[in-house]
Amino acid sequence: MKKITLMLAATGIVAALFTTACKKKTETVTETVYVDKTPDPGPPTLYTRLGGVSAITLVTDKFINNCATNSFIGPRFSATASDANRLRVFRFNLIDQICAGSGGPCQYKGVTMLQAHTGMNITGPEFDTLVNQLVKAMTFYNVPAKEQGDLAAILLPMKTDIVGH
Amino acid sequence: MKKSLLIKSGKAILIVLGTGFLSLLVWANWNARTYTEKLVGNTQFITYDLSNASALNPLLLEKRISVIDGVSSCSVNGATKIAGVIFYTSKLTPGELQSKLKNTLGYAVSEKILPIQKGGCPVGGIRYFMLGLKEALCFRS
Repeated sequence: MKKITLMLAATGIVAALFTTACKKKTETVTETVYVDKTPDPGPPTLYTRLGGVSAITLVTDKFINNCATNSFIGPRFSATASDANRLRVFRFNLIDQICAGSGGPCQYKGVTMLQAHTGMNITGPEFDTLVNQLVKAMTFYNVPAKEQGDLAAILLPMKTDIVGH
Repeated sequence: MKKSLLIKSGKAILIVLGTGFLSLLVWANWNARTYTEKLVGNTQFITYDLSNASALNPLLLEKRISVIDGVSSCSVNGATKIAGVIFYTSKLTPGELQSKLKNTLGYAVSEKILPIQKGGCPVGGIRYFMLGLKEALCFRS
């Protein structure tokens, strides 16, 4: 009888120890998961600061419109803008390019800038006019100067692939 | 004999065309729409002649036209007296837009075709025709 009591007591102690150990382990795991779920988000991306895809779409549409109605570079854009299917592809490519370049969830699926502009013989003044139209579009929608500069810093390096090919 | 050959040929042509169309449907709906395609609607671009305007303030006009429901953007060239309007085809037809422009501006405007340089931006050709076909046949949301 004593043996049975001792065995039961020992089993109880082991079970209690086991449960306590497991409980501690669970608490540790829960704590770790909690920490993992709230990582430091860091500074907001340019995509977020610009206002996401809806704001990028507004600026892109204004930019295309500015370019197509511009007396100097308009003729290069009007054929694309006037054709609904070409406008769709061109517009989505531009939105994807700005969205992806600014850290957004989009993926640019068009050809490279060099491939796209080879044979077009785009001149420096034409490129500068194009950049002016983008700045005008961003200013129209009150995009702050810092975000304008950050976006220009992403797009301006493409000049070497666009001009003179 | 000739009739049965004709029927057989007709059936073969129908099978080939049907298989081709089904293949196009499968191809067009194979991939889900991209993030941008899901969120951004399709648009159309039309340019209007503003020579009826007595006095032209491009920025003011752009702001007034841009807020019309269904219009995505408006740009006015004061020198050539042309307004370019990009609008969502799901919200407006060209006729409705023209009527809303008349109400907003107080005078009738007519479409004006812009001078086009051959080529333009490199989004044309068979690749882009196929993309257009894919869009037309895609019914995935």
